[in-house]
Amino acid sequence: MNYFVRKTITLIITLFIVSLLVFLAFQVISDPAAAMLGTSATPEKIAELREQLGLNDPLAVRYGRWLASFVKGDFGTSYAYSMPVRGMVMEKLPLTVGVVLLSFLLMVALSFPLGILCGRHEGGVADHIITILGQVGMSIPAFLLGVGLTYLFGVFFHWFTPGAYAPLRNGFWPWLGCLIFPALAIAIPRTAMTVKMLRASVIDEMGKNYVVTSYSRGAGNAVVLRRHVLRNAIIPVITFIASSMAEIVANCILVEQVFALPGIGVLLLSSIGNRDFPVVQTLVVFLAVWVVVINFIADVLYQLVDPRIRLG
Amino acid sequence: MKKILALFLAAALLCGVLCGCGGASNKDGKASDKETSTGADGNSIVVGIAQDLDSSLDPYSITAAGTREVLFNVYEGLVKADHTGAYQAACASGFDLSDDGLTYTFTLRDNVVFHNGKTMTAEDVLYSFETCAARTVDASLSAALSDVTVASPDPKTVTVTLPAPNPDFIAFAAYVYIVPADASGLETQPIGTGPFKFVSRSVQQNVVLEKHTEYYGTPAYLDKVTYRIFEDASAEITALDAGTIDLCAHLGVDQIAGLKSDYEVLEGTMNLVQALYLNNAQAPFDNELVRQALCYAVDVKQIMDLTEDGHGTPVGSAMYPAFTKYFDPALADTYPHDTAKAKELLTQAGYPDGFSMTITVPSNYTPHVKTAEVIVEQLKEVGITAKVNKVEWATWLSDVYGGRQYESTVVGFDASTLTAAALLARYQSTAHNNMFNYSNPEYDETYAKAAAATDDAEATQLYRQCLKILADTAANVYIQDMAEFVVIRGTLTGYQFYPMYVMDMSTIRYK
Amino acid sequence: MKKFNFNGFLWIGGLLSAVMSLLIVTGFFWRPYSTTAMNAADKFARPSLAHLMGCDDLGRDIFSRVLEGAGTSFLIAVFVVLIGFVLGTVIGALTGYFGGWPDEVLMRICDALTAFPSILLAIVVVAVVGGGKYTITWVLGLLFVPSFARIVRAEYARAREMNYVKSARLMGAGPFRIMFRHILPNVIAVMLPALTIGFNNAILAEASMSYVGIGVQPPDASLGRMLSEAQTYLKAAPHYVLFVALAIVLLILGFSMLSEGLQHRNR
Repeated sequence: MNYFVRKTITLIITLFIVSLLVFLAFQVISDPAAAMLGTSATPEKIAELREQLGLNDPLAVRYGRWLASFVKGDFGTSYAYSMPVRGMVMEKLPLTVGVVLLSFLLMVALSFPLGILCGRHEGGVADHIITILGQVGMSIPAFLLGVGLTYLFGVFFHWFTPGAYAPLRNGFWPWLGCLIFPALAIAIPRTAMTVKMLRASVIDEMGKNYVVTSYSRGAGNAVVLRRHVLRNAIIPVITFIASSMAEIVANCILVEQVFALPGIGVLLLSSIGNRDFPVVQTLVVFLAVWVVVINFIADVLYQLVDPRIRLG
Repeated sequence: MKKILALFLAAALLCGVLCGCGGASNKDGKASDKETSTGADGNSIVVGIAQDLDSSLDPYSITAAGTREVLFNVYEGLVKADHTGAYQAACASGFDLSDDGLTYTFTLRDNVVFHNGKTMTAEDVLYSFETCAARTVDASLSAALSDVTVASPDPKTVTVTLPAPNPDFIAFAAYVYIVPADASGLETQPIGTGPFKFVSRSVQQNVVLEKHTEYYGTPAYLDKVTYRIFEDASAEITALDAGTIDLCAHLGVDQIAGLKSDYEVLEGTMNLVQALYLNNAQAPFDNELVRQALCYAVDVKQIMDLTEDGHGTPVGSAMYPAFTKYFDPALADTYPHDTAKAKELLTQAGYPDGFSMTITVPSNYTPHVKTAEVIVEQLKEVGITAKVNKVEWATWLSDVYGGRQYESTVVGFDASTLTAAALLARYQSTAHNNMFNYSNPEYDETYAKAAAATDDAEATQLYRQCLKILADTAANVYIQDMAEFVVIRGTLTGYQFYPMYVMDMSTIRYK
Repeated sequence: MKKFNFNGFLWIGGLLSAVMSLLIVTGFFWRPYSTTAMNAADKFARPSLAHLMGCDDLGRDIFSRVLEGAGTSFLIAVFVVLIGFVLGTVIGALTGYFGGWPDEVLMRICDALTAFPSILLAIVVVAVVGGGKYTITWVLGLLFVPSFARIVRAEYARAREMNYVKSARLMGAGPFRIMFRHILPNVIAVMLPALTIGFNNAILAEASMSYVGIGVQPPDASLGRMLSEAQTYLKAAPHYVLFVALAIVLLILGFSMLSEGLQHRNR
C-alpha cells in the first residue's frame, strides 16, 4: 500500500507543478485586459480593467484564484466567443474521448492477436508479411492515413459521410459510425508499433529456459502460451501501451482536423489561431492532466501485474 | 478583439476561405441519404460555410460579412434589399419622404410577428432605432443615425427626421434591424422578424435556422437550414465531394472542377474590390509615380487567367460592378499592362533598379494569397522584389488594418451597406478606417460635397468623380471583383445572387 | 529471420534514404524549374517528360516544389536531430559519468518530459510562442533531448566501469578527455538507430504540424503544408496530392527501415 500512497502523492505534486507551469506560461504571453479591449485599448483603460480583473494582485494570489476556480469547473471566458470556456470544452469532449477510446480498443484488439501470432511463429510467412506491412504502417502518419481513408471509404465507396457528424444525443450507433474511421486512422500506425513490441517480447520470452522446460515436460502449446509466455511478455508492453494513450490523444488532435470532426483538437487549433488563450490554457491543462494520469495508471498496473518491480 | 472586428472591415473576409469547395458529388446518392434524414422531414438543407459566426449574434454587433450573410435571414429592418439591390417594404408596409427630404414617414405593417411570438409595435421600432444608434459597431451607420429624431405619432406610424437630406438614408434604414423592445440575450439567441428563426448554434460546428411560420411575407419553402462550419478548406471540399452539403457559395473555379451532374453550378460575383492595397504613407508608396508604375506592372488579365481561369471583372477603382450607379468600367483601362511604361515611371521616381517590398496577406483567404503570389512574379519583371508574408487573420486585423503597420496587402473590401459611403468614406484623410493612409485634399473635398449633396443625381456624379480621383492618383493597385461560384444540389432551385454579401434562404426550394 | 531483416531492412532502407537524401540535396542546388514560375497554359498539367510530377493550380512545376518542400522538411529534421543529439550527448555524458544528485534530478525531468508525446508538447509550445520554422526546429530539437540523453547516460554509466575507461583513468586522462575521446566513439554506434528514429519523428512531427497550420509558415514550403494545399485540388489534380503524400511516406519509410536494420545489426 505504501507504494500506492507514495505514487498518489507524486501524482498530486506533478499535477500541481504542471498547472503552475501552464498558468505561468500563459501569464507571460497574454494580457487579458489588452486582449479584451483590442484596438480601443488605451493605457488608462487597460489599467482600469486590470484593476477590475484583479491582475495587479501578486502572482501567487492570482494563481490560487485561478486554480480554485479551475478545480470548481470555472475555466474562464473565451475571448473569441465571450462564452464560458467550460461549455465550449464540455460540448466537444465526448467526441474526442470517443475517438481516443475507440482507437485504443482497436489498437489492442488488432495488435495482440497479430503480435502473438508473429512471435509464436517467428520467421514464418505470416510473420514476414506482418512485419513488412507493419514497417509501412508505421511510416504513414495518422493524418495522412486519415486523408487516404476519407477518399477511399468516404468519397469513393461511400461507407461513411465525410464532414457529417451525428451528435451523441441523436443515438449511440450513428455517433459511433462517425468515429470509426478517424479511430482507424489513429490506431493503424500505433497497432504496427505495438505488434512489433509484442512480437519481440514474445520471442524473447519463448526463448527462456522455463518455457523450454515446460515444453519438455509435455505441456501443450496453448497452455504454455497462456500460462507463462503471455503473462510475462505483456509486462514490458504495458508501459508502451500507456504511452500510446498519450500519443493517441496527440494524433486525435490532428486527425479531427482531417475528418472535420468538431472535437477538442479542432477547438484547440482554431483557438491557437484566434489567440483565444483562455480556451487554449484550459485544453492544455486537460491534456497535461490526461498524460500524467495515464502514466500514473500505467505505473500502478505495472505494479499489479508484476509485484517484483519496485519503482521509486 | 471584438473592438478590432468592430472596425468594420467585414470586407475581405470570408471570400478566401469560403472558396473551399469543389469536386464531384456522390455517384449513387447513398451518402446523401444519411444527411437528409437528419433534417426532420426532408424539407431541409445543409449549407457549407467556411467560418464560424461572430461571437455575438446581436443585430448591431455584426462585424464579419459571414455573420451578416447568415443573419440576413433572421433580422429585418423597416425596409429590406432585394436581389436587385432595390429596397422593398419589410417591417414597414411603405414609406413617404417629405418634400424637404428630411422626414421619412414609415407605415408599419400590421401582422409582423417576432420569432418569440410577440407582435411588432411602434414601441419596438423606436427601441430598435435608439439602440442601434447608440450601439452599432458600423461607423457609417452610426454616422447616418446621429442627430436623427425618431417619433411615433400613432401606433401604426413611425417618423424619422434627419438633420439634413441624405439620399442614402433608406439604405441605412435597412440595417436598423427591428427587435423586440424587451429583448435580452440577443447575442446568443437572436430574435427578429425574418423568414427564418434562429434555433441553435454550436461553436465551430453549426448554426441551425428554422422556418418562421408566422412570417408576414412570402413564407420560406424550406423548414430547416443547417449551416455546417468547415474551417478547413479541404474538409469542406471533401464534404461536397461526398454529397454532405446541399449548397455552398463563394467557391473558386478550381474548386468546382470535376463536379458531377447532380450539382448545379451558378456563377456570380463576390461583390468586393480586390486590390493590392498600398500603405500610401510609407516610402516608396508615398510617391504617386511608384504607385502608377505598380499599376502598369500588374497584369490584371493574367491574374484572372491564372487564379480563376479568366473569370472576374476588372474594377480599376474602389467600386464593384453591382453598384451600376457608380461603377465606371472605363476606369479599368486607366493603366493597361505595360512593363516598359512601369520601368520608365520607376526611373522617373528614382528607383531605376526597383526596390524590395512585402505583401502581407491573411493566410486563410486562398484567392488573395494566390493573387499575391502572381503579383510577386509580375513585379519581378520590372525589377521589384516582392515577398509574400502570410499572417493569421487576427494578426492581419491588428497589424495591417488596425495598426497600419504594413507595406502592401491583398484583400477585398465589400460594402457593409448598399451605399457609396460604405466603400468610399474610408479614403478620406481623416477616416478612422483609412488603412491605406490615403491623403488627398481634392478627394476629401469632392467626397464631402458628395456626402452633403441632397440631390441624388448630383451625389452620384460626385461619387463617380471620387472614383476617378482614386484611379488617377493610383491610390491602390485595383484588381478585380472576383467571380464566385455557387454549388447547389440539382434537386434545389431558387438561389438568387444579391449585390451584397448575403445568402437568401427564403427563395430556395426543392423542385 | 535475422538474416532477412539485416538484408531487407538495412539495404532497402539505406538505399531508399540515400536516394531521397540525394534528390533533396540536389534540390538545394538545382531544380528543373523555378518554384515560382507560373504559366496559365500548364495549370494542373498531368505528369509528363517536361513536368515529371505535373503542375499545380498556378501552373508551377510540382516536382520542383516537392523538392523545395522536402528540402525544408529535411533541413528541419536534420537540425532537430543535431540539437537533440548534441545537447542530449552532453547532458547524458555528464550525468552518466559523474552520477550523483544532478543525475537523479535531470533524469527525473527527462522521465517527466518523455511521458508527453512530442507533437503534443510542440503544439503546446507553439500555442504559447507562435509557429515558424525556427521555432519548430528549436522546440522539436529540445523535446528530443531527453530521449537521447537517456540512451547516452545509460551507455556512460556502463562504460564508467569498463576496463578501457579504468585504464585510461589510471594513465592520468582527465574526465572530459575520457568522456569525449574514449567513450563517445563507442556510444555513437549505439546512437545510430536512435538518431534515424529521431530523424523520422522529426519529419513526422513537422509534417503533421505544418499540415494543420501551426508548423512551418509561408512563404517557406514544407511537405505538410503542400499536402493541405494540394488536398483542395484533389478533383482537379489528383497527381498533386499523390506525389506530395508519396514524398512524405517514402522519406519516413526509408529512414524507419534503415533504423530497423541498424538495430538488428547492433543486436
